[in-house]
Amino acid sequence: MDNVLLHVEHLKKTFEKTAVLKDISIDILQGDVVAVIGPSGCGKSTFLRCLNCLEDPDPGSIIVFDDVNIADIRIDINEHRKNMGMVFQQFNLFANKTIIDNITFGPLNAYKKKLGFFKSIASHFNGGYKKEKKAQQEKALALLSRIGLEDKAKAYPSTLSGGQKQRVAIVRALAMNPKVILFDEPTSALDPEMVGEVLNLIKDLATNGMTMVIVTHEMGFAKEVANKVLFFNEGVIEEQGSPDELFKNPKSERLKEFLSKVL
Amino acid sequence: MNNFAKFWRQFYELGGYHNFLQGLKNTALIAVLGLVIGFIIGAVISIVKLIPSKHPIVKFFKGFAEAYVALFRGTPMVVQLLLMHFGLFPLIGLSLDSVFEAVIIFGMNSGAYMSEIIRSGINAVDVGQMEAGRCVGVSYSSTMVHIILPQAIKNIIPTIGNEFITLIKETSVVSFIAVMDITKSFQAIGTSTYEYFVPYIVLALVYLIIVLAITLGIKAIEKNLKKSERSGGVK
Repeated sequence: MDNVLLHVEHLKKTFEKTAVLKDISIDILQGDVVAVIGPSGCGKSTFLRCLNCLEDPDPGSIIVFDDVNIADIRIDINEHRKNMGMVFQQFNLFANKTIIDNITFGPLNAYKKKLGFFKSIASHFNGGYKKEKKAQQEKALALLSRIGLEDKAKAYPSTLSGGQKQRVAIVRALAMNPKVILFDEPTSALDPEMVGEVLNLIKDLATNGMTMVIVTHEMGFAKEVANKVLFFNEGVIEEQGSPDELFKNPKSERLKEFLSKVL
Repeated sequence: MNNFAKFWRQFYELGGYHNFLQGLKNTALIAVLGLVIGFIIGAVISIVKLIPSKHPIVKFFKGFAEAYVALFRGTPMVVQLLLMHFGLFPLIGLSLDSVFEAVIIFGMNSGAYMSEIIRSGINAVDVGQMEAGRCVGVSYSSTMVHIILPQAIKNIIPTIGNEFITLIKETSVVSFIAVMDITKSFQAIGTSTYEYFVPYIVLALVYLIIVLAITLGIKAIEKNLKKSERSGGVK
């Protein structure tokens, strides 16, 4: 199948001697919105962080992305992370950079890397870098106006509210034109009244066909946006399927128990 | 003639201030260059210590960094100065200007302390900053340089200021290797007038004034950095 974006096979992750992920296999297709749910400590965040190798999967794990097994530590992971955005629970905006610099940092770095060492130095003198910077800044401003924050372009992250920060973090990921965006509990650190604005932006991305993997505790949101739900329990995918199947007819006892607690 | 008049005569009329100016220059040179060299050495050592790799070459450099810090923190500055000036440098046939020697040794000594300061500064930056950098495809080293270090340095500016003050005061030992510094210039006045009380009080005041001035400077820098993060775009 050529519309498989992320092919995960026998993914295992062990911390010290604790097996956190036990043999996960799953295909994520182009345009999929995958919600990952489960009790805390079940390995869902670790699963997400293994997908872009923030945590190195155990040897033998296979994650095929860009036609390459990115779980192989010999490949240049930076090349592939460019195509894979990530949004964190704690936003993690660069505290020493303005909002607009937060957004252009990744693309400008990619530009320099593409040119190579000498050409990237030269680009500072022949105007190439300036031109690219201007183009990226215009793009960043367009993205900011999409979330209604263009007036914050020159502000520092510390002056923004949680919801604003998270929306900027999403836009920062978008600026790399990723093929997939990973969300690690994007609304868990937000005040309740700010959850809506962030979820609306994610919904907006979903309707535009962005492929996403979202670890979340917002069951209503998962039901509404996802086309596939994975229920993690003790390091395995206990149950998977469409939101309708999982939320209306849970098969496993554990999922029934979990849903009775959170719904 | 009272003691102060004696001091003043020796200091001003008989030209003692030439020594003082020379000493001031040397003290400033040794402290400032020592701080700069120390910062560079410290940054390299702290980053080597923090590299998350078990590669044998990295391990070798990590061991070297540990030994370096242990050696330079574990012995007094005077001993290092004497050992290098009378032992190591003559042994390898290196004859440098004594001031220059002092700059090197102060830099190397300060590097050991600075590495710990910078390491704590880097550790104080949230790991999420590094992860966020890596997630937009930026390498470990580029994220370190553009994201982590600027934040770390901002955190440690007060501590670096402290280190600078320590260095200024420690320069008072360079007379051991025959470098003219502030302390020695006032000692010379005492030796000439056979009266030490006034010169040493003035000496203490000179150090105090220098340190207070630096303290004010550091506070101004800190305030400025804080402001820069709050300004712009938001009214």
